[in-house]
Amino acid sequence: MDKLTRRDFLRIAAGTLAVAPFGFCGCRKPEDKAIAMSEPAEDNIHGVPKYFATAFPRRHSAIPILVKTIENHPVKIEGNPLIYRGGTDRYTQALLFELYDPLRCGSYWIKTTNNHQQTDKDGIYHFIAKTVDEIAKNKGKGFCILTGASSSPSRYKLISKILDKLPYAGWYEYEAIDFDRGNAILSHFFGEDVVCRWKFDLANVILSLDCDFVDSEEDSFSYAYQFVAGRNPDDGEMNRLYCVEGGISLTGAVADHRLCVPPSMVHSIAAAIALEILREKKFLGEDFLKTLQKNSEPARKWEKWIKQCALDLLKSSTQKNKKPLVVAGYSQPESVHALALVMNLALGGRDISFSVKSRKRPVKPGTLNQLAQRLNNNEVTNLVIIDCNPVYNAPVDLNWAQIQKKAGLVIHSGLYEDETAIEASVHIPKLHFLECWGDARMSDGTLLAIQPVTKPVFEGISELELLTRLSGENYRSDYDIVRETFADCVSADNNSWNLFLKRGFAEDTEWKDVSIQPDNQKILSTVASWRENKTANSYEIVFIRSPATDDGRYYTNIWLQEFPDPITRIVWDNAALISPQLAKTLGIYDGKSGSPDETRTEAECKKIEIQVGNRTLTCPAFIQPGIADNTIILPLGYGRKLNTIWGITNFSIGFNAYTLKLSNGTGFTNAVSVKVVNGETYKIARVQKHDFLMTSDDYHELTIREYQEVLPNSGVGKFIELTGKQGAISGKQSSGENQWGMVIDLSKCIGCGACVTACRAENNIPVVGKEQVLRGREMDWIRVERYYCKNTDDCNIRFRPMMCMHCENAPCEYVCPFNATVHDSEGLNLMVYNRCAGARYCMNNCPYKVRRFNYLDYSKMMTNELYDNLVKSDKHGHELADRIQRYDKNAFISSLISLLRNPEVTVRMRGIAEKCSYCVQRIQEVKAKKKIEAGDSKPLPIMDGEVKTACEQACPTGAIIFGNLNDPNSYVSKMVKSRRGYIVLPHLNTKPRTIYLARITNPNPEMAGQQQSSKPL
Amino acid sequence: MSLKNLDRIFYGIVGIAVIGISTVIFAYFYYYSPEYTTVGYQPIQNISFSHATHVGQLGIDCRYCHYTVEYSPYAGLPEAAVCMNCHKQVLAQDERILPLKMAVDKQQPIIYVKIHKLPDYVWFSHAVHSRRGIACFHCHGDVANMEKTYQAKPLDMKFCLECHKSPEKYIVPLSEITKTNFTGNSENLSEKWNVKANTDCSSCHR
Repeated sequence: MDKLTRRDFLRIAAGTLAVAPFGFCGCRKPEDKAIAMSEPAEDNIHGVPKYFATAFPRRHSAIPILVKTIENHPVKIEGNPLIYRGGTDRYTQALLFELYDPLRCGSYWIKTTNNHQQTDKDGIYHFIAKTVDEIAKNKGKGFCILTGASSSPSRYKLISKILDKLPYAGWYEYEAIDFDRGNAILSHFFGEDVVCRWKFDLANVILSLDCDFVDSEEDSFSYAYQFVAGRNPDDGEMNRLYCVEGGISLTGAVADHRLCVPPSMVHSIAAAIALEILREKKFLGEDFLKTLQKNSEPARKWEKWIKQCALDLLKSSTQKNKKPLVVAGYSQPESVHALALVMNLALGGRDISFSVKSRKRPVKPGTLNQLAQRLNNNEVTNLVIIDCNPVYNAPVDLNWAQIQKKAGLVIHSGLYEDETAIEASVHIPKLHFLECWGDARMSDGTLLAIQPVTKPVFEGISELELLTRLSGENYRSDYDIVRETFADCVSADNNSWNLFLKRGFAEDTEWKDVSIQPDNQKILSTVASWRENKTANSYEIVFIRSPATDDGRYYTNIWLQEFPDPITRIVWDNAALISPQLAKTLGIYDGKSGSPDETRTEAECKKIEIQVGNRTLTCPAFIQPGIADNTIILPLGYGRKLNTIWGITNFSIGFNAYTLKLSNGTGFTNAVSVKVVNGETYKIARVQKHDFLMTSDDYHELTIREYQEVLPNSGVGKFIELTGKQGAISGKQSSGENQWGMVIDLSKCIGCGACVTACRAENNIPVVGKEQVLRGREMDWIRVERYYCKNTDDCNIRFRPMMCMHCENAPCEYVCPFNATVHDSEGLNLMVYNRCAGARYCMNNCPYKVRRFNYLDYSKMMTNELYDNLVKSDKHGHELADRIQRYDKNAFISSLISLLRNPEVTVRMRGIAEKCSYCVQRIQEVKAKKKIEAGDSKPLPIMDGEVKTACEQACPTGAIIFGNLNDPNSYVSKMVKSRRGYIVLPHLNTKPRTIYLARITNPNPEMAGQQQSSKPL
Repeated sequence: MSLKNLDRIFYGIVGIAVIGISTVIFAYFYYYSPEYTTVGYQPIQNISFSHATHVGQLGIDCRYCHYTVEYSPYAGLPEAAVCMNCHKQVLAQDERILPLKMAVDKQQPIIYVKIHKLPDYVWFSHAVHSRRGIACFHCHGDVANMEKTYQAKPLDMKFCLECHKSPEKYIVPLSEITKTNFTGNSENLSEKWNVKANTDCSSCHR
């Protein structure tokens, strides 16, 4: 052929181009399928949500929850409104992710000497039956069960059955962070199995000895509720909280007086206070007072504080209906708990501010140390580990990974194939509590129901089934077991069972109060055996429970990983917290700013090496004001390794602080040395880079005296009278029948962050990962800002939740070029996602900076990429390559995440701005419900409390109040008129619909200016 | 000063191009609108169901098959068991009934092609509309005479706003919502029932 000329080429190209459009014809509209079932499902109407009452089992308690399900799968978890106003905590809100966690997907496998064999359910049943036969022959000799903590009476029943059948078997329980320690110590003193139940609403003065009761104790959501209920400034009487702590916690933040000391010093301070009280009350003999005198010597420095605190406690003990309360934290040694007990008894708080209840468990577990001893003596041939991860979090001096190998056969059952599973011989995936029947008891004994809300997402066997099979009995179903337990505890009647399931709990099932007295000799010997921490110039290491991953169990929960620590505001990491003074001593801080780098969201942290005994740990050091000098705080729960569909992965998030934790029973230890690792830095992502309020106009705080005496006469300046003028909520501007508004009571906010996680769960907020947060692109619609107040000597931590203010004069509305953000007739500032084209002018204009932008397609792409970026395969370990091939990872993750999402809220794509919508989907749902119910008549008005925003519903203390301002009887209308009310940034005339109520504190008037803690900033 | 020839040609071409492009843009927005692309959509279904027979001839109420229309945002498609209520006896051996029978026997779903599809960013609740007096035929057209179901109305935002701006024109008593021939007086109903058809964005877009 001749050479192709240019003209010919162009002719052909033009011809093709002319014909091309015809190829696009005949393109049909893509077909969308509508699937009709073959038979109607009973009780299920397509599109209508159903609510199930169940309970979220925690260590020795459970949180009662309501699970909203649509199409038979759960989409939102809320608290049970019949118990403690339905408040929850952040772990409960993020729980839904755990159900659909792609890393949970496990399989049954049995490891023999030369190979690793995957099997199925029947194979496991067969194996268990075989093992049980062998065990039964020796009557359980060498058979041990190690479990995590649980309050389930059904589980106790099954385990006692096993122990009855196999008298030589042993049952041990281990929790890395043991909230029940206080009760165990108390039981030792009382000689019986008892629990101590605190009643903060009937306590007028509270002394917390390193006890983080609003956030980190069993059922802390109920304690937060009670504590705040006793602290209403408009009630006339407010309680007072003194907090002595070694770390930094939310209880310390909310305290009226906080004393920050090394944790080992807490005992001396408690002894000094106890000395004053017992001397005055003439409680216990002279011997005891002499011991206390000796023990309180090291606390001389804080004499004045101690004296005033003791006087206050004594004074308040004369009140009739309320009594003072002393609480000791789980991480403090037995002597501190003993002191708390004697102080409580001396102050007369029994049966008022606290009560001792008889627990009477049918069988009590042994401790991990006892099991370790048996393993060391080669006494264990069969070890079953359920819901416990000792290879990861056992005290490091037990060397658990090695001694576990001494057991012949190790069967592991858990939600994840964790570190212990990797070392075990058999792994059985465990069903999530949302997938099976069960029961639980709250810490006061109330019986709660656990019922399944969905079919199992992944393969697994429930704990009750596994225990039944281990006892050799015939397994019928979990339902039968739980029904039987209910019949034993309450009644066998059908009606009461149905009511139990409907309400989620059974009435009158609390444990009974007892009036037994403790053994004073035991208390005296415990207190006398305390020894001062004499190693001067040493550092004390405090281990705290991570606010994100708890003790490590939520490591793979990306919702919690992206939850910013309430105090440090760090995400996706943990860091060693050191005080500014220590940082100066180590030479990594020049003393100019309070935090490492105030200008960027990424904190470049220097790394330090901590040595405890002969073990070292390298970690990044983050400067945290408000800690005692020479104290270092290490959050636990990071640095884990799991077996997943990608093989063994460690995700390299944070560092593992368990490598330094010894088995001394307390939550703190001594470090030999702390050195800076030269040349190495580590980037830590924070969501808040500024720590101090620039003006004092945006955060208002008064003491109760000022509030009662000064405020009615002032009215000018700080607090704006809400009359409809400057910056006020008028409610009459818009034409809708309901005018929505919100009040945030800063006196009640404890900074726990339940609202943050609830909003994330309700509104399909995507997870962006550490790298994006380093660029400042976090997506949480509500943030709880944390400020250090410089006004006093103490480092005061204050919290302020902030979400879209729904301004009546919104600066974001008139700058949108596409009219994507408009105001509706009910006062909401709407965000119309389909109109948004991503100009981000609205984000620029918003003075509260509450708008977020999807810079990338976080909802679809990023979750898959997130996992790929986090995964770094580990070369050693099992060969599970076939499992990696089996899953198309992206499709697998996408399908799980789509189940996780709330179908009532749009999922936003790349390029769309979003912000808090006052849960417009909930408002619309209630409005629709009213119309549907009315039909051909006038719809009834929406009652107060029918519409609850997700944040309001999750808040354990009731700090967020939402409702109709047009309704004069609604709670929000009343609170909006409060004398404490103010608006953030009032000079901008944005007229927000969210107002804040100033925080009222109740400091001791004798103690002004006597707080001694960390150096002023 | 007159234009040179070359200039004339140049400006001529520019003028024609402008007119041409405007025509294309106009045609695109006119013909690519929902009125033209979705109205009349009549896909082939797995089951050759005829609304004309069941609704027009036999007079079966819409809500007999689409029974969730008053409780749920979705009207839903009838399960095969609902069809078999009659067809166990009526035309039981007919070959058109066979797929239904097999679906029930084998517990298999029936896959229809969705005809009325709203975009993902729109939230529409059938329950609110049917319980507040909007007749079925108003959005779904003359279903009683459809041999094969097709989409009769564009269901775009303009269509929704017609009613939302003045609902009093379209409200009928609840007993009449499934009838196509109601001609009675509906003037007072929207006032009596306090019907507030919102035109705020939040009513449909969340």
